[in-house]
Amino acid sequence: MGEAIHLELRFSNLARTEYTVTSPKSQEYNCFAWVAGDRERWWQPTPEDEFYWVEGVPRSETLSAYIQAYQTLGYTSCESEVLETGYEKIALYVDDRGVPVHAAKQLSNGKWSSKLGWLEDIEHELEGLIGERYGKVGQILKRVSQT
Amino acid sequence: MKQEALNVQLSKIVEKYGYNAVLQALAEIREISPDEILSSTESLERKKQSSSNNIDNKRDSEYPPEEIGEKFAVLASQWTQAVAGMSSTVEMAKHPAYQEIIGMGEAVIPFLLADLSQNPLYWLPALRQITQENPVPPSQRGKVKQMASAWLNWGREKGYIA
Repeated sequence: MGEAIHLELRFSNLARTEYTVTSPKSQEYNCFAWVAGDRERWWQPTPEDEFYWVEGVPRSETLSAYIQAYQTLGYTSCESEVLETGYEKIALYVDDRGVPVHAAKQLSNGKWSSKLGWLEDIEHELEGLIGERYGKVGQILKRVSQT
Repeated sequence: MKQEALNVQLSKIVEKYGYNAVLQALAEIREISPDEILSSTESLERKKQSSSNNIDNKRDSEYPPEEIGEKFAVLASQWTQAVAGMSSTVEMAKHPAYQEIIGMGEAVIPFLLADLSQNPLYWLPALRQITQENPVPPSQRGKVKQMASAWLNWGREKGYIA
């Protein structure tokens, strides 16, 4: 599907890194669902239990809550974003308060896959989404490959 | 982003895609045009007004009824431009335009419901905050189209949709 001007206008680092659009827009799932393999729900730890959130995990917009959510899927904290044979990785982007604002999952080619809010999915470099909107990578998680 | 850096960034994109393509993209980024929303909500508003005798139609908005649709359309357009690409509905809902829509109160509910079929995600937090209700069964939470459908059923039951 190629590149998209409207994404480069919103995510300035995309214009100077490699990326490609891999899906049409959808409001049915977000990045936090996408990295968990769920394309049918919008994951969000809203205090009023408005959207889906993993049962038993605190409904709070904190890095700790997000890590706990992915721990239920077998992920553990990890230091390196480098591709490791036999493992799947998730990157959590955090804003300047340390609040998770985006998640990406690593592909078998070492690139990353992201759902951009209600916009498209893209395949990208990790640094392609660092910037004003998604902040910086605050945590890498990994688990033994499920495929 | 500082203006200078923004200009450099924009110049690079213009160089890559051409001036006209960037101008067109900037126009398309608006996502919802005010005219689009108004045309889809006018018929609903007319139906609602015609059945108003049967409905507790108390308004708590400071906006005159005839201005509500127009104001909502402008705010909705500002909001979608600003938050597209955000992953958190909590962050999206903090935007001043969204908060102003919530502040319009019960009067804006017909417009929120009318847009749900086109944009099932956008107005779920606003409906929740304005009404202080949650008609979505636990099993449907996060399933955006089903959540929108639950709100539309709620709207019919409450008389917001004729």
